[in-house]
Amino acid sequence: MTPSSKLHVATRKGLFTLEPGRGDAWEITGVDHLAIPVSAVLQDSRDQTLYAALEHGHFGPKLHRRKAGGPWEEIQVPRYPERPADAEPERDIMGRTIEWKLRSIWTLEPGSSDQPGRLWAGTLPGGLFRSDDHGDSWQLVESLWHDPRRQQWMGGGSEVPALHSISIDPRDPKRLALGVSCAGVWHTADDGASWEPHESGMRAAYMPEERQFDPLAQDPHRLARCAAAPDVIWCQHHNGIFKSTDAGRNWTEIEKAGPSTFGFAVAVHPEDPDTAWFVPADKDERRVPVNGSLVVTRTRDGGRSFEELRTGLPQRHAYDLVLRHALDVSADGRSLAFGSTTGNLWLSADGGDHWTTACPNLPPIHAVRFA
Amino acid sequence: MPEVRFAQALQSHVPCPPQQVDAVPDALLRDVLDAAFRAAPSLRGYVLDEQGDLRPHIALFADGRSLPGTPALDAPLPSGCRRIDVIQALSGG
Repeated sequence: MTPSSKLHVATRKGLFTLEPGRGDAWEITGVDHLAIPVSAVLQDSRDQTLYAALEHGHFGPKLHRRKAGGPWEEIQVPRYPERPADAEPERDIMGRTIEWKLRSIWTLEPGSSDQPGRLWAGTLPGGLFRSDDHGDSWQLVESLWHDPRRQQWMGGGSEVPALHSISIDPRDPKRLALGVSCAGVWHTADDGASWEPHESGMRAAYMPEERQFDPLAQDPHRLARCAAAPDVIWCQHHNGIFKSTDAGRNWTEIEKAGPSTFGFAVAVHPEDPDTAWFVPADKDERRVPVNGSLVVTRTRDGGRSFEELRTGLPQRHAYDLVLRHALDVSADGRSLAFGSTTGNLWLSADGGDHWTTACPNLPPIHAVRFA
Repeated sequence: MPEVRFAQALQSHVPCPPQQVDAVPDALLRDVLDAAFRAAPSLRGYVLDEQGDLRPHIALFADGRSLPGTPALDAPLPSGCRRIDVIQALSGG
């Protein structure tokens, strides 16, 4: 596997691209959509097309595409269908109205190599969309949207349910696992024709006792599947860290992981399912590093133990929070990158043993992604 | 024949110079905007969402008088209206 040659950084004020410079340093070589919030980015490895989901505060979510060697172009954005005129207002379990309107594109994923043009988009307020023409048109996956169990979904962090993780089984791209805040993990084995929530294991200590293990009440913050061992999926959950060895059907809680198990982001080594990284925050009600000391936690034994990786990271008065899409590992498993809401970007070339500040002055970082 | 003008902030994404729009008597404001969008179809998604509602941070003015958001879209154009301004709210940071 060759090292990554680009890193895309989606921020509150634009999309930044970094490439390797001299030595271990990476340099900003591209600034696009400056001053516009970028909620998701994807460089499709099948054809190198770059996609950027924008969130104009005033003008709604937009989607832009740049084919290899071409200019940026605005393309169709996923659209929710019109609701029946006589339908009652749809409300979540908190009684809040859920409108069938695109709030945000929160994640973009490519299909497999034998699905040319296939893209998946996860959105707020919870809809999954599919494109088979490189984003020229999008179809709402209605089997999921019309599932009556969706009425039990609720917002977590945002006011509305948010589909943030689309994990495709590389052995069979018709098998997907979705992470939704807050609706747990949803599975399809037939390319989205039918769906089932995960079965057991996730725990939401913040819920009333009767619902703490309810699959639909769970708030997975991010899913990360091992490419070489696709039955292993790691999850950074609102309640802590969970791991599945049956492709996300059942989960086991990892109760101890360095200074805290609370956080948003997770990355797993593409070839070693026992190696995963997290960037913990103190706890739900204090979303800053423990004691102002920034740390990446790494397990290399499947979660039995965790190392605290601190070399090169600020250890005093650091208040950086790393959002769920803002940690990534390269395809060779050696390079890591993460960015914070404070606008700091760190890189490691040795699996997290040593970190360097790639850029200290970026806008708040939503997502980082190697290409 | 009201003139429809889109704010500069909108035009930075989708160019659309001020234009005179033919409006039949009792035309709805939505009809007038629909006619204006013909000159720049992609502008529609910046002003209206997929359900045809006015985006929350877009404001409409008729001859300098503010109109009440989405409900104004399905009301007749104010009598004698000569100019519609479509602007963005000044919020955010």
